[in-house]
Amino acid sequence: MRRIGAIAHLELKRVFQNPQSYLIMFGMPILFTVIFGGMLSGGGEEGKPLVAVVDEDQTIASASYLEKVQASSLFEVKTLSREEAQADLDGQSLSGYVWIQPSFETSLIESESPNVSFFFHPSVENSGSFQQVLENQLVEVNHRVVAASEYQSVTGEPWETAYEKMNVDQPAGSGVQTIDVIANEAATEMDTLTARSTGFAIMFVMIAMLSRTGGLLEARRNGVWDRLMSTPALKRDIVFGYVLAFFLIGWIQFGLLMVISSLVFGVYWGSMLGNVILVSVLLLCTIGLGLAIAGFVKTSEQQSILGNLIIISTCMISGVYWPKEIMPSFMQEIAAFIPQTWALEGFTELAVRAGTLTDIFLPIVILLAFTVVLLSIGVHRTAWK
Amino acid sequence: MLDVMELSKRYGDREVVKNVSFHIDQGEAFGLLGPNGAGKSTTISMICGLIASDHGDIQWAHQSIKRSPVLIKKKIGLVPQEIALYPMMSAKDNLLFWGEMYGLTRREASQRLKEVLAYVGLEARAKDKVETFSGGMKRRINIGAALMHRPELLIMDEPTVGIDPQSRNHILDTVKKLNEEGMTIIYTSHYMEEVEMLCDRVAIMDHGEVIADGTHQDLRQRLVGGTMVHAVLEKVTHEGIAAIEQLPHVEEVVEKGEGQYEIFVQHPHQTLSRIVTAAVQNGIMISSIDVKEPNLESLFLQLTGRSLRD
Ligand SMILES: Nc1ncnc2c1ncn2[C@@H]1O[C@H](COP(=O)(O)OP(=O)(O)OP(=O)(O)O)[C@@H](O)[C@H]1O
Ligand SMILES: [Mg+2]
Repeated sequence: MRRIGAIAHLELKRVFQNPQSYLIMFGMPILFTVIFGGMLSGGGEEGKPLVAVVDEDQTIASASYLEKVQASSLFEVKTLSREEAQADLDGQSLSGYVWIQPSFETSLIESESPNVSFFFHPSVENSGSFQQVLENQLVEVNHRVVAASEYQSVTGEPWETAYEKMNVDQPAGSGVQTIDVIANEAATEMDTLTARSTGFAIMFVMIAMLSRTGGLLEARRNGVWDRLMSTPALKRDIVFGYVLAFFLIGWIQFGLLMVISSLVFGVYWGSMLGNVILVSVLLLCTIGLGLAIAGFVKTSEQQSILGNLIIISTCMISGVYWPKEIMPSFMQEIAAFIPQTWALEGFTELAVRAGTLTDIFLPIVILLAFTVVLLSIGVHRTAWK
Repeated sequence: MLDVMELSKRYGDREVVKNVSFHIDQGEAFGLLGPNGAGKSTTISMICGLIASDHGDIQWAHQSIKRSPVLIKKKIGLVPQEIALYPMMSAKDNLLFWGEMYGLTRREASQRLKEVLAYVGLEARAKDKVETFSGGMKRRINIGAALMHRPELLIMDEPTVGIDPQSRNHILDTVKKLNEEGMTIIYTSHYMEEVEMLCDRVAIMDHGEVIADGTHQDLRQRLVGGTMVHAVLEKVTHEGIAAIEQLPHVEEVVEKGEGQYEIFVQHPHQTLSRIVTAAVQNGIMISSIDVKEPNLESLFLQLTGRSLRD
């Protein structure tokens, strides 16, 4: 017990004695939040592009699509006629519009390519991303129409009822369910600053943890590890001491970032208990990832390069840098296999939907599963190989 | 106190420690002498329980260390060959940490700190980062970290490698003092002068084997030809060397390259003139010739045909 404490004490001292630690742990995430938070929101909520929807189909499917587009927090949406929309676009008072053509629902049912067109003003930045979001939403509607059509032909119920039902009985594994959760409930996405500060807190906790776990490789290289092994300390205690130290350091970092973000960016984090559990699990998962990477490389330099590569790329996919929905749907499917996605999902639930501990049960269980796998690989490969 | 019994270790198909046995009594200073790669560190790692042996056993007070590794680790202080410290931490923090790892409480460690700093002569630098120390000072803290818990047996793996003479003398004095105060010591080195000065008994290792061991007296007696004549020769001929080897009281001639020869002889005073005569008669020119007192280096040379630090 004493030795566990001694290791934890030393590691904490090692980190907080080093001025560089503060930059990585606190400076960088705040900077990234400001940059990416400011960039995507264009300096505030007013900066959202205005997009029109022209619904010439006027069916259940088209209405459903309209609803989804309206629910998106990425742009302001209004409905116009085709002529009005084109005129506004030409006059640059509109960033773009979606033209739902009369045969929209039919084309979906008959599994043709949907009769929808997107028009963006050439001056609009990110028009590609916006189109991607709109297309993703279309895919969902498409799934639902196909399912409803199937359901109707089997049960003979009226189209309207069938379509309504499909809202609940989403076919499992359609791959767009995560978007669905967000899109089905109005205004359930994080605002940009909240999303960015949460995301970058996660990312830089992970990056800072890389140097911590890389310390183990350093200890192996300079003989400190062997020396530890020559003392009467049990290997179990040594490993536990290290993990405890990493956990405490992680909490100091994440906790402080939470405080800073709520004071500076006005971020609301939600349920205290939920956050404590979620952050704790996330940290253990992060320690596991760091150790697992350390277990497969020789030097701390290699670990840093490989680790940063893994962390930054997975963070991009999981929606740390930008909303996940602006990415193609196959990327969003990949995101389900990344821990950060689930951590973000948990934080969103707590902060935006005022979720409680029970609401983040799924993200926590999934993060725990990642933790068990990563931590056992990591501890095994770094301490017992 | 410590028995090393028929210890063997192989890495792949290379046997780096072969059937090594020795015994150490309480209060003794025992030297482990050998060139690079002899297997000294590997032997020590097995004694300290860092790596498992393939064969053999190590016993502390007739108890196998496999049976109670932790109990024995408490009694040993290891000074590793490399400087195994936290460079960004102060000397004080390092010593306190290692004290705690050896089982001291924070308070005990703080109390012991001053004594250890005095042993290694670094009281004035306690608060400085180890990183800022000279090589010799780092070595001294490296030793200090193994002294915190007052070990019964101090194992030092080449504690004076690559340091200035001042630090080296300081370390040798410290070791001598610790030994006089009753600490048992295993001292590993490839500097035979250090081992000769510090140790009561010595084991000489080469290629994983103990090729000679015993007290200085024992080892000196093993040296065939009590004295070594060091000669630098020119125009050497095979017949000339053979003629020298044939002389009475000449036991062995070892060529060291570049015209250097070590000639092991008895009765050096009579023999020296005979060597000179034989050389001249065979057309060999003598650049220099002198008589050396026999030491462990000469024994190693005689046993292996190489010097310790080739
Ligand atoms: N982990 C290992 N894997 C493979 N070979 C090893 C390993 N450790 C040591 N060896 C080899 O075993 C031999 C003995 O090494 P050891 O470190 O015990 O020598 P040493 O006597 O301490 O030498 P030095 O004076 O250079 O420290 C060397 O040839 C070394 O290359
Ligand atoms: Mg060695």
